[in-house]
Amino acid sequence: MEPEDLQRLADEDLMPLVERKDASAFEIVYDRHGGPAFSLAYRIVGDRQVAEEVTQEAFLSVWRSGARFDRARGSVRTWLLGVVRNRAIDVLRREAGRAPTVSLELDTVPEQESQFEPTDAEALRREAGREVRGALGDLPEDQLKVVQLAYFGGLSHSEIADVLGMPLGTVKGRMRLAMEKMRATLAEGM
Amino acid sequence: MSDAGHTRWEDDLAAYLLDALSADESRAVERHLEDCARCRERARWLRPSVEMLPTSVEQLEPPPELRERLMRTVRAEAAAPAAAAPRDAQVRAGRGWLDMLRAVPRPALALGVALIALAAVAGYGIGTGGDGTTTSTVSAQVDPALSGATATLERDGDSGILRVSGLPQRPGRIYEVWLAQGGDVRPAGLFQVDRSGRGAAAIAAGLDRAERVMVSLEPARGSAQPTTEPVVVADI
Repeated sequence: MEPEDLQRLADEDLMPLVERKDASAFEIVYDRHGGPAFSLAYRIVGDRQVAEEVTQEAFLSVWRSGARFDRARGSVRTWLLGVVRNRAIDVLRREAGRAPTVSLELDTVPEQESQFEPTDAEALRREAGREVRGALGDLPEDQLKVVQLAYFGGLSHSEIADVLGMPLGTVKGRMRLAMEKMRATLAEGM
Repeated sequence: MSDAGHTRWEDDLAAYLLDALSADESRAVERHLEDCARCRERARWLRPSVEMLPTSVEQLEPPPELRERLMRTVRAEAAAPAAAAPRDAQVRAGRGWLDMLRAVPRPALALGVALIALAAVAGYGIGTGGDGTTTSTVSAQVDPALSGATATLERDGDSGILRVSGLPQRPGRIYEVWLAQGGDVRPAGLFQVDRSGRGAAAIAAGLDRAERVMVSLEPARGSAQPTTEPVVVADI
């Protein structure tokens, strides 16, 4: 299939080609999702070089085992970013030799503007990101903390309870409240 | 189940979706989901909250070198899925590298190592990237107890691909790649081998700051430091 034909395929239709070791199909998948993947890795590990390694390893694992993608369980992007997150958290834990730490600041990572004009897709992605950050920013601080420690820090609820010095039940309750509020904000925006 | 009983599951469900439960707790939630339509529906409703989190981070531009390295590896593997195994072999004795790194003088291990790739072939091009990049294949040594096993390191500046063949699959274990310089050993990736014993690991960066690339068999999630003797050693 010609590259321009591949470009027209949805992610879910590219993955069977990736499974059959079609490097051009893989390249398109990377071009669509490499930016969010690298951004997520950097948010978790806080180091550009390590984020590069995490992103590369994650995409290579996808290249080598594309069959593991199950379209019934969500989008390619969600699956890919899950792979990236798992790898980044593994690196944090391995390098620290303990539970990872995570910044509690919402905007610790400055947005780096490209030297090039963003593509439409890139501009949309950034806009969506800003909206989601707005939704997170609406969360009470105590709820935001537990979500960030869990998702970006890879901490379990019991580790979070230790870090924040609060009962386990309180941590889980705040997680629930935060997710309900985020979901409601998402629903409003639809 | 009472509403009070379900509040507990609802709390657990949020933690479950955030990947914040222990393995046992996660399994308990999954068992509950099988039997509880109400919680399944709630999980389906809440899941987008988690899926939005990665998009909340500030968006960065990935470096073009990352794409170049990644695609070079991918094209190389697409073009030649099976590693070319050098046939020349020469046996030499060696010490376990864990011992060497600990700088503890001990007698040579009974385990010898077979030098399976002698020549460093500078300028050997791989892949179909067409960008004029040159790579070199550097020598690797494999535990001779693994009869017939081979390994090569295709180096491309600071990054490379380690290809192995003939390594046994070990359930519950994983092969881990290490970069060593002096007494410093850094993890550089995990890989499995297929049923025929073939596998490959991309080393994204760090070869410029390494004297050796090594592979050892580690617990399934990998280790922070090597816990077993190496099965592959490549001096670079």
